Amino acid sequence: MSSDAGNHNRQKQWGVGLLVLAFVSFGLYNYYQAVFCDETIVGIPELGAEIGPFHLSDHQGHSVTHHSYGEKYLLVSFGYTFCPDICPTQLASFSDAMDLLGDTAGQVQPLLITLDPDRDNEEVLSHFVSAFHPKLIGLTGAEREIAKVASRLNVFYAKAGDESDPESYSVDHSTLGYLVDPHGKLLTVFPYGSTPEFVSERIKQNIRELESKT
Amino acid sequence: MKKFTLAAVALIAAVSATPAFAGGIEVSDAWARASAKMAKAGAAFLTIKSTGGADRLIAAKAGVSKKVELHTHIKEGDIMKMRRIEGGIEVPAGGMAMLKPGGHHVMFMGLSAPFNEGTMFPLTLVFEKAGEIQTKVMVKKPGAMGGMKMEHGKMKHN
Ligand SMILES: [Cu+2]
Repeated sequence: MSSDAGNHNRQKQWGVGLLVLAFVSFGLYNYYQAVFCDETIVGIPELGAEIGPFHLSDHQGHSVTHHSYGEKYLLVSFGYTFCPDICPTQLASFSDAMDLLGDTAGQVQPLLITLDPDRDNEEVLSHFVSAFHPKLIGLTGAEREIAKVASRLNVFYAKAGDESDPESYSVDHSTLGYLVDPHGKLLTVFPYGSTPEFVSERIKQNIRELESKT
Repeated sequence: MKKFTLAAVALIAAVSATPAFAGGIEVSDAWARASAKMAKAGAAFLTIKSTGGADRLIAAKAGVSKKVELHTHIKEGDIMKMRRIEGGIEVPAGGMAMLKPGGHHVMFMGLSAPFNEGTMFPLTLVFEKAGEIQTKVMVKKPGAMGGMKMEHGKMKHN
């Protein structure tokens, strides 16, 4: 009889455990589903991660910090100008998203942070960003500073190929886009291949949600 | 002079709109994105069709850059790695091979001049069996997708 009661208790515990597991999985599933559809993604930063502090220069040669963009939300991509396909695809999508934002566009600053400061000086960056959007700002600087920002947002990058030849090596890198709030905290990420419509809607939704809280 | 230039442009356009053929292999819709001033790299995308047996694209040649290579992207999670393709790109018998954004491309490294939107440049593709096929690459805007749609537009939200 007592062993029966024991079994029953154990069954109950299992039941509660499974229920908790189901809830947690469902929550996680919803989060990942909302952010990534059904893709497997590595390198997702924790939401709320801080992008700053950093000291970099923009494509016009001004030195900038995490405070330089005041009350604006940042739409951040990481890439390099030698990238002939992946980076232009993402920047084109983010540029179109900026145009779809309408009145909200004034609250958003798009940034491209280079992962290849050896080749991407201010001049190279300035020609590159101007090909995409008039508001897009390119940031470059000391490798150490870029590495700091990248690691805070879990951005992976590594040179591949013949590093000694500036006309041949490429840079393997994470392809997410990042939306950062005016306090420098990560709000959400955009997977590679996100449409301009998806990006602009999520930006508006995030800003609405954050502003309704304050 | 202006008329002559226009006629030349029209002629080039007509030639490039016609797919390039040889040995049962047809190359069409070659395009590239415009590159920024000072850019050192570019990529071209195109479609290859086989009306006969299987073949293999093994190399590409062009005068626009120091190096021309066949490249692909390897996706690991959210990380993209651009790599040279060893052994070429297979064109199945009676089938197609697509070089398109996010996948394979012809890579130009050490550009001698930027790719300007609205211009064209010649590209030679080298096939294992069909030999060399010439085509013209049309330069589109920097963010062009070549008619491709991006993937994440039709997500359901609760
Ligand atoms: Cu490439």
